[in-house]
Amino acid sequence: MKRYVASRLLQVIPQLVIVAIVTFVLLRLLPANPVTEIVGPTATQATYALEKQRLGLSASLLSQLGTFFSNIAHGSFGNSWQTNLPVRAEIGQHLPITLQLIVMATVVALLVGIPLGYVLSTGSGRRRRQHRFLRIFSLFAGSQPDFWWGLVFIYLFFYLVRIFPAPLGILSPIAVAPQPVTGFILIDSLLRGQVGTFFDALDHFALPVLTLAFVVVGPIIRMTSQGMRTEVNADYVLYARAAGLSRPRIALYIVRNGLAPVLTLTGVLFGVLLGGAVLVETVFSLNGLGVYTLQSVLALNYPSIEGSVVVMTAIALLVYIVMDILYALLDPRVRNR
Amino acid sequence: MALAEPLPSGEEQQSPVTAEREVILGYPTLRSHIMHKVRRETLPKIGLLIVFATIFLAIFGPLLAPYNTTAATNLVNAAPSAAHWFGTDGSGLDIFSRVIAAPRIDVSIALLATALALVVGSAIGLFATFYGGWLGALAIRATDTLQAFPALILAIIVVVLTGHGIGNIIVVIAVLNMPLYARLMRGEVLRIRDRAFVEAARASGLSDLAIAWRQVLPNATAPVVAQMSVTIGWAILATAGLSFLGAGVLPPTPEWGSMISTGSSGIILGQWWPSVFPGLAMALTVFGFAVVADTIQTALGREG
Amino acid sequence: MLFEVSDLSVEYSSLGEISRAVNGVSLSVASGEVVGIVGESGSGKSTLALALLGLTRRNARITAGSVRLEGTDLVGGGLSEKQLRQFRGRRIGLITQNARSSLNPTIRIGKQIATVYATHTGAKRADARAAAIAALRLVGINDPERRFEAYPHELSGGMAQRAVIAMATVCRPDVVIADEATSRLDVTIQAQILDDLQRAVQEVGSSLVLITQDLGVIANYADRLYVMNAGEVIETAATSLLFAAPGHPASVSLLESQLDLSELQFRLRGLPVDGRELPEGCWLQTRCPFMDEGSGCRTVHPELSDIGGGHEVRCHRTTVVVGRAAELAR
Repeated sequence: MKRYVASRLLQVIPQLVIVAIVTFVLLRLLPANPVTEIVGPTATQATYALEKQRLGLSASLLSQLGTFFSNIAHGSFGNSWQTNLPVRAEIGQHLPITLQLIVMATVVALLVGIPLGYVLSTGSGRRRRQHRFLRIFSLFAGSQPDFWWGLVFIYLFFYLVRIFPAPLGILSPIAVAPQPVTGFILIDSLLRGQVGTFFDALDHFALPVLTLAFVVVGPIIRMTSQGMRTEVNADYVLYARAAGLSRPRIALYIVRNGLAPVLTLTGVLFGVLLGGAVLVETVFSLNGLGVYTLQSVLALNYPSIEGSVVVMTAIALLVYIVMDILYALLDPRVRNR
Repeated sequence: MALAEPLPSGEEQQSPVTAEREVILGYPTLRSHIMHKVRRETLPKIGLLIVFATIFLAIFGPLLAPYNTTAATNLVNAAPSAAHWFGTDGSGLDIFSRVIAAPRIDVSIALLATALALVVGSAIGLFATFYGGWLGALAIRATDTLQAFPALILAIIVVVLTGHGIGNIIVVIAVLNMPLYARLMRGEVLRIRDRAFVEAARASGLSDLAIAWRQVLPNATAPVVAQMSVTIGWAILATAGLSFLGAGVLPPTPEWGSMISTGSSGIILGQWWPSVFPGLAMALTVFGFAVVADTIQTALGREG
Repeated sequence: MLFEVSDLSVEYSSLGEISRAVNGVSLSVASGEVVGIVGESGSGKSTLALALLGLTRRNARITAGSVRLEGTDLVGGGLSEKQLRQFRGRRIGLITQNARSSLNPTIRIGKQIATVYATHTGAKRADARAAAIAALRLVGINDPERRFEAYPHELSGGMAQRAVIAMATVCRPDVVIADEATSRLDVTIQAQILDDLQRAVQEVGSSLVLITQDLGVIANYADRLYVMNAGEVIETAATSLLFAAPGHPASVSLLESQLDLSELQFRLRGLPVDGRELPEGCWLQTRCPFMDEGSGCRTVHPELSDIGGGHEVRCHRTTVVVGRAAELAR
């Protein structure tokens, strides 16, 4: 088991390094010019050259790469070209919002999707209409644009019926943000005893979480249903019945074994959500990593872009490993690979 | 959200007999299955209808638009009425006209990007797996690593840094989807490479290319077509998403994503029509493509 | 009579068409007896095996008949699933042919066996574990404490089969049904497994129903035989009697190697009958070398008739068959 974990980690590190290199090189090969972006189109030759030097863009590509990786070895992505603040710190501020958003959305989608998927997998003859609806719904939801649905939900649940607050960030204007401990507002507000702030933040997270959960629950339902159906028809289930095992126990077998592919899917969905978070963050004015990355790209802020991409990729790869480990725990057959 | 990825499948449920039949006879048996499904159930019919409608609009949409789609007027933010079925947006443009004109660009980008991803990705997958060797292994590894990137972010970077050209949008969407087709072809090649009749074909002197052409491609058709439908749907979403963020197709070109974006600020004021109608059109369209993909995939998975 | 099956019929539907997998099968098993059920593939044996526990696969159902274990009808007696569960695994055990797929791939085999035991006896973990280990030892697995921790995919085919046998016998059932318990195994191991099976069954005191395609296998183990074809019992007799004087062409077909009757005239021609389209008269009329219109083969479906000594045959041409077989055996 430990060997499996180690081998997965070993596979992931080169991937991360390659992603970092490709991003770095791609930024410098594409025709945009960040120097002009900063000094303006009317700057003098001297100012231009000076700035280019300062940004480190005068050096050869290889030496720039070298500096990049040596920085990373020291745990730094350099300073943002927009604010001159360390990229690491800025990412540290924006990342928690994205993470809270995605984690909550994934959890909600799993809590709703897995039981529904189980329902969809059992008994085809009996509850036909519900099954048809579930099938069509999961197909529909999984194909939808999250940013548009976010707007629809805002219209429905904020404008028409005021259940949830205005999509203007994480807290209402009068709320006081808690002193950071972990950087995660939901945790910090509880740690600081600011329960009101906690619920305020939760309130603001509700619609974006609903939006993301909506588009992700579809594939989860279908994968769960598929997985369960394979198990339900398996020989060992029939044999367990022949051995007189109780219904709850057989159901447990089915669920346990059918859940494994859902784990892999969840990892993939998490990665997709992470990369696509910028859409929902924009709609709901959330100051997450997605929005930070977008702004950095629009401003040609290379260090911030590099840092964001590397962090996002690292998190996604880490999640894949965790899911693989959980899979191996559930299914001993994969452990020796 | 539509995934560019195929979902990791649990078990492939195909009886071995059918699998053989499928390989030897090729896709025609599958096609009859799909036609059978389409004729019998309503959902596939709806899916096909939507797809055809979208393609129709892509070709004829701008011609059918009652109003000019880029000339600003004074009738700003008007609610839907008899004159303007979908109302007007912040620049006084008729939303209905723009909604039916938008498929042209979205669908064109989607189709071209899919075609590119299909051709290049399949070629890579086919040749890398068929010929093997270190170059092949490298190619496969490269495509795998490509999937580790946060897709949308990569697209944003490329489009913004190369100046919003439509060609760039097409290329980046294509590149992001190539790994899927590479893997699909790779799967097909692996499936039949060691089968007896391939050995026989080789022994009888048939060149590798001929084998690839005659044996592998026909059998890959169905899964590839299913994947194409998924890719087109994803490409539309990606284009719209990029445009929504301002990193894709720029206004005033009618495009669903950018239309939603310009309309978004009005939502909290109750002006729902500038964002809702384009989004509704897009939602239906991508659903249609998803249904088509699903129909093909179920016909593939559940052999009678 | 310990275990008595009467007129059991199982129907299944496939692609909208219905066919009878099991047609009015009757058989009986006395306490401590070993009974064999033989038949070519497609004769309905596996469907029968499941039906003996009141089980069917998804698209099949039991349409008629009774299966009585010490008087209680498992099939027609209106027993609830809950009541049936008290029989399955506890008073009647099943051994299937594909052992590795019959075991849950994600749970260690020892635990699976122990679970069966605990479910039926309410035993605690330690006792259930001990019982499982004992069962493993009984079926010939050396070092059962270590094998207890194994996963099904870590076992060889033979080991997995033994594990399944252990699972079927751990509760000391009255009857054990072995559905082609060795068909998928290497020839060299088959005999070993059967020996282990026989020993386990004797030790536990169960009766055994051995279902197989291979008559040669069964000769050494079964006291009595039932021969099946197209879902019906077409002949039954004590093993020695059947081998000496088979009365049905299908039995002779199966016995061919044993009797050294390479005479083609005895072989059933063609493929097994299609369960969806059964003809009037004898179902084997198109395949049987002894078919004779005059005897009613085409018009009257033959019933099982006693030709003496507990030997029953379902054939209009029995006397001819027996005569010819005896002739050639000389």
